Amino acid sequence: MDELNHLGWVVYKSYEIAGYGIGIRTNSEACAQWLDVVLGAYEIDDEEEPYYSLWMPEQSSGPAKQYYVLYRESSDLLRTLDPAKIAQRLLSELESFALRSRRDAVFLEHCVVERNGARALVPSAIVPYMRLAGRRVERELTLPVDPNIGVARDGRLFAVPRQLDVPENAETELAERLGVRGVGTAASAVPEEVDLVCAFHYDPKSPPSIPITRAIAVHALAQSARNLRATHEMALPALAELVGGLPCHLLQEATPEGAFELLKQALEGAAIADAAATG
Amino acid sequence: MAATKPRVRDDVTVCEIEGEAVVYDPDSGLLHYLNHSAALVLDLCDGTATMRHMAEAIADVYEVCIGDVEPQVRSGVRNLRKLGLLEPPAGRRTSAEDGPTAAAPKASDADADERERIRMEVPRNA
Repeated sequence: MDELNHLGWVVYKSYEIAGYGIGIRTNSEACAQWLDVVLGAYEIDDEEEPYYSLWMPEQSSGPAKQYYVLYRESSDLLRTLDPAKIAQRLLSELESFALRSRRDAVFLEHCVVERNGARALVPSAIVPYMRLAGRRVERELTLPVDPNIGVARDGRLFAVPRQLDVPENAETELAERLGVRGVGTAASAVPEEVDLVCAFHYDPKSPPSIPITRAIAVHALAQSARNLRATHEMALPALAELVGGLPCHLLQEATPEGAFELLKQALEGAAIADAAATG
Repeated sequence: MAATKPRVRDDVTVCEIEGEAVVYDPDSGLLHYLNHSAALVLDLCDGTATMRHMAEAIADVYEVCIGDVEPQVRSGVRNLRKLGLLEPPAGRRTSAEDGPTAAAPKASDADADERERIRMEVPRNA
């Protein structure tokens, strides 16, 4: 976190979510007031090290737009012009802690990325990494805000419902307090199925894209499960259902541009295969 | 001494997928990927067959020489045992029973174990 200390944090808060102590800091009084309203019920007196940082740009009257940024430790998870998306992502991040003891479904740190109707299940961590390749990533791919996705026993995907007791309009409330029109994204916009599964790695000796078996894909997915310990008997068969019949790829992540291009190619391949299958 | 009949631990979750397997060990919290041959050996570790019998069964099904199969079965069982996925052989004390004074494996043994684990878990095509 030291790398971010120069950004001028003015408010530090500590919360307890599902038994975990979590520190949040921000450079904005308005954002701190939003935290009080939305997460006040979870605030604790202990001083936790800041784990998340919310950076709000100063309001300017000029035409230049500035990004709102959510950091986890020193990594930026989301950089957006819409503060409602920052709020949505922060709440989803905090809810990750509450998912660890859930037994009704498997919750993965994965998300669905879409391009021209083709959908890939990818590790959530690859999204902020690919964003480093520039604005074209958001233009050419549909990227989700939420980092978690649920897998039901039958292998179907679903959006993770709200775990925290927060106001319904919590996301847009932040935008309003900052005097910005926030849109956010529909939390329910998760397809039940995808067209392919992608894992990422970096090995200079390997080809950039390798087909992998479904067992390897399940192994990779299970490693990202928030609640594997609580659900392993159900989780592995559910993940096997999820990947059943799907192409699975291992893509190189040597650079953000490389990861983005490879994922784009994999999605284009899936779209072509889908078009051929449907005639 | 009677030949051992390897058996997968009851609490381990095994998910077979197209001949390969993903295994979760709740004790260690570790996930393991097993390729076709490792998954086949694991499947035969039901506590009813000796390694010789397991090799005979595989040789019979795949119509190959048992002399070629048996060393692979023994190696596979050894690897599964190193991963801690099998019940300890009857009459043999576990490392936990040995307590803290038990001799630690030599560094070279530990390195060899790690190499075996990597060979077993890293897919050949990756």
